[in-house]
Amino acid sequence: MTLQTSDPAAEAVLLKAYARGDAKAAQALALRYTPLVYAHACRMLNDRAEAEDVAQDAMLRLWKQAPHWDADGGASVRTWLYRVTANLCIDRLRKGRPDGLSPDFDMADGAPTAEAHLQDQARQSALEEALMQLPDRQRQAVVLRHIDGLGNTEIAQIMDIGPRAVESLTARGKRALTDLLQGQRQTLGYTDDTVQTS
Amino acid sequence: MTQSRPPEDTALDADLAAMRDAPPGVSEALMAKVMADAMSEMPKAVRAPLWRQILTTLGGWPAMAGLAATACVGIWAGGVLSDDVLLPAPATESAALDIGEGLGAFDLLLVEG
Repeated sequence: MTLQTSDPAAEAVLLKAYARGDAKAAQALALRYTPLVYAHACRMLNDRAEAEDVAQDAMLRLWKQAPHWDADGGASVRTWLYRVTANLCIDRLRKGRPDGLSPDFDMADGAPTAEAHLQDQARQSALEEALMQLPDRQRQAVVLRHIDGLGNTEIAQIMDIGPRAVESLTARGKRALTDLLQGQRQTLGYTDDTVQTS
Repeated sequence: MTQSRPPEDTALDADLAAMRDAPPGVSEALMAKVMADAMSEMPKAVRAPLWRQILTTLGGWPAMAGLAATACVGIWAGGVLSDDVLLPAPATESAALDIGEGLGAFDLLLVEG
């Protein structure tokens, strides 16, 4: 898995340009970061509407922060955004626990639904349900590490913990997912990665 | 010796990778809202004070230093140099204008018609 790396200096230049009134910088920032925060919120909340609200809120905080951003501080805009997004998601989760998978939510929306892809869709749905059953911090660590593709150092900064704590969270999260999916695989009738029909 | 990973770990990694490779798409509505927020929160371009605009137009601090030096020389010249140097000699009947020699063909140009 290729880890995603950010360039704090380049990010700061773009944000500084926005703070000086550069509309093109605003567009570049929006195109670059909105998908990241939206995808992370989707995976944390499993609710598209909620994820859109969180993504808009996170980006709004970035716009407000832009004039005060310390371009020489070395901080990463991406790391900061992930942290804000995660905190917003956890706040929403604490206010009202979602009742499992939203019936209107389909993270594979837009993906092919031909019969040939039903198995993949079923596995993805099972994984989404299993993720929502993890404790919030474990889910956050697993999503950041194995889906968003961030390194342990950056995840540690986002979650405000040490790198070893990140490793522990991701390991526990993956073990929990494995156990949950093992049960789901039996329910779905998987053997040798095929769906049993009877 | 390389330990083989349990098949369920391999399958989970594959599922996680599939989720990573198929991120949920951002709707046009969300992107429009984000851009609208960006434009409304964008700091307005700050206008420089008038003195700074003039300074920039003149060429910055080096140019201002030259102007100041010139002004100082001018003030000094006005205060130090004698009137004999600065003021023209009063006109008299016997006064003759010595235009010097060696002006060649230009001497006639100096004679009032």
